[in-house]
Amino acid sequence: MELLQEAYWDEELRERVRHSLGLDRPFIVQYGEFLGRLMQGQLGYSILSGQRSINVMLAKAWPKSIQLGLVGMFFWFVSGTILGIIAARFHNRTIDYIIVSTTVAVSTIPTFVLAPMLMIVFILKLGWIESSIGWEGIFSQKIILPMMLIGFTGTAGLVRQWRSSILETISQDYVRTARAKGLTERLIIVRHVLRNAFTPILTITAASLGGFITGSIFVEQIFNIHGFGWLVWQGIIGLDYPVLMITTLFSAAIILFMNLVVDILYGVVDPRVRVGERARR
Amino acid sequence: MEEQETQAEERRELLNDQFRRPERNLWKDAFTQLIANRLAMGSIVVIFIVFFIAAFGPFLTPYDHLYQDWDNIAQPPTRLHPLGTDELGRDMLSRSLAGGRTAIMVAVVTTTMAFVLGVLIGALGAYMGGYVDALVVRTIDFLQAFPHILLAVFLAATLKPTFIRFGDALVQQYGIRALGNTLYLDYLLIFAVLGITGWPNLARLVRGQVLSLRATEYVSSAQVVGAKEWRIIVHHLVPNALGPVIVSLSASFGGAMLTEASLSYLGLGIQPPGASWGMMIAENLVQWRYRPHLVVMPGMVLFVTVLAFTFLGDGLNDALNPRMLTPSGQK
Repeated sequence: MELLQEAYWDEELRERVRHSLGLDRPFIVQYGEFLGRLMQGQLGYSILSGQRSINVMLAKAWPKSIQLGLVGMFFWFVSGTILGIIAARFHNRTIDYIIVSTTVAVSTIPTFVLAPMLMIVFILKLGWIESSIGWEGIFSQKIILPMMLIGFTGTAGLVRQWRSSILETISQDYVRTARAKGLTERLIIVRHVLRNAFTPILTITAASLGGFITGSIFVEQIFNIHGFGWLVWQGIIGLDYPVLMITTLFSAAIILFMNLVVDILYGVVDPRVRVGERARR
Repeated sequence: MEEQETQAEERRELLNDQFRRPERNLWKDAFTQLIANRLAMGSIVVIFIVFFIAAFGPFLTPYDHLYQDWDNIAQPPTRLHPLGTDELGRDMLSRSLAGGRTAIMVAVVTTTMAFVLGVLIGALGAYMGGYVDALVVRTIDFLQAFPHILLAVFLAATLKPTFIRFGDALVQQYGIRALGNTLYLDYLLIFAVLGITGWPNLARLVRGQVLSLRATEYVSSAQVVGAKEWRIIVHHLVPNALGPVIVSLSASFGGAMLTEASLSYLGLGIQPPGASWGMMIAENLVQWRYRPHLVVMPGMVLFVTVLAFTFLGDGLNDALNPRMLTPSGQK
């Protein structure tokens, strides 16, 4: 090490690098400049991959992650809704207990444990899927396992929420009225129960977002999908601080933004929550 | 005279036998309910086994978790190695037990840290009000805006060089050999990171509990009759806030294990050759196609343990929070 340093250590070069990275200025100035650049949308440069701009890296990574996330959320929503409705329909019977405890168990398994297990079952034992590694768009069979993995992390929460909120709605007076009118059970559930049970579901959607993002780190790392989570993973193994900083900041920003969107959606779904109008009255 | 008295006595006893109900309180009720919950009882058994393993695991197996058996490399389960060996010839059972020790140690230490910090900061915010409270709430909001694991990853990556430099400095200055072992520094790093990320949840819960309990009638009446503040705290606030806090602690115990495994899996927690379930999965994931059992074993152990804590938390929640005083329901 000493020899290497003697041979390649160039004081002038060191100063030049320090200057180009801004390390010779006071800490607080550096922080101010960082914030200023952030405001202008310049996210800085990766240390590891040859000074590449993080803007470019993010722009390349986003489309895949958003597609994967949307597909995963779709799977999450559909599976959670169906199972939740079944569990509420047969509540306190065996099928209800089976659904609730199985989804809790599956959601408890960390992604990096579930992923190899699903791979072993579907690829090695059953042979339904040939290979899952890589990214070929959302209409390829390679998407199936990543989609399931991202979806599964939040299924238990969604099932529970649907179950309890349907059970609460079903005991309301207007449902009894609908029954008394002689509506079919299907119509009651679709038109009267589900619509009114939907508001709490929005809350859990917002709460699940963090899970989707952290889930994507593991999923994209295991399946070698070069998206946002993969970028985080690269930042971790290379201790690439600028990348880590921006990705952490970015995910927090997404979560805050989505919380805002959900808050606005409350008003759309449930007319009672329109705060502005009530305040004006 | 005397006869009458004995008769009255007998009648009273008869009344007691027939109509008097046994003494009840929240804890007894909760205990009965918990005993009746089969899932929770099963979880308690699993948790006891894991704790036993954490305490005595290394004495139970003939191999050290670092011992390499060169004659049996990457074996499926055999009589010699009940869970097989990994590609370096290390006994998977011994490594799983050592990993259990890591998991329990991390969970115990970080949950204690989160408990102390959370209760102190949460109660501080609720009691002081004003600027202090605002500061506490904003800090909690700030820390909870990030996805939990991402924040832990970020902190671990950022603090790591500092810890290594700290260790080096101690070794050079005082010649403490033990601190030169990076494994201990890894443990310290994990403790610090999980301590920092763990307390906001609990602080929010405690703050909400204190604020809502202080607004109840019985606290007001205690204040009216002139009870001292510490008496209100000890007799009214603590017993009533304890249920939700215990439930939350049980959940955070499993959560801490999971986060440790995730960090170790990502290469930021316990480093080789130390043993952690998350790291064992990461080490063997490369060869899932050829030696699936190497991935499945630590995965199953981790899964069963975390599941036990989840189910125990659910059982405790049903038993201790009869009014379903969930954290999200608190305002």
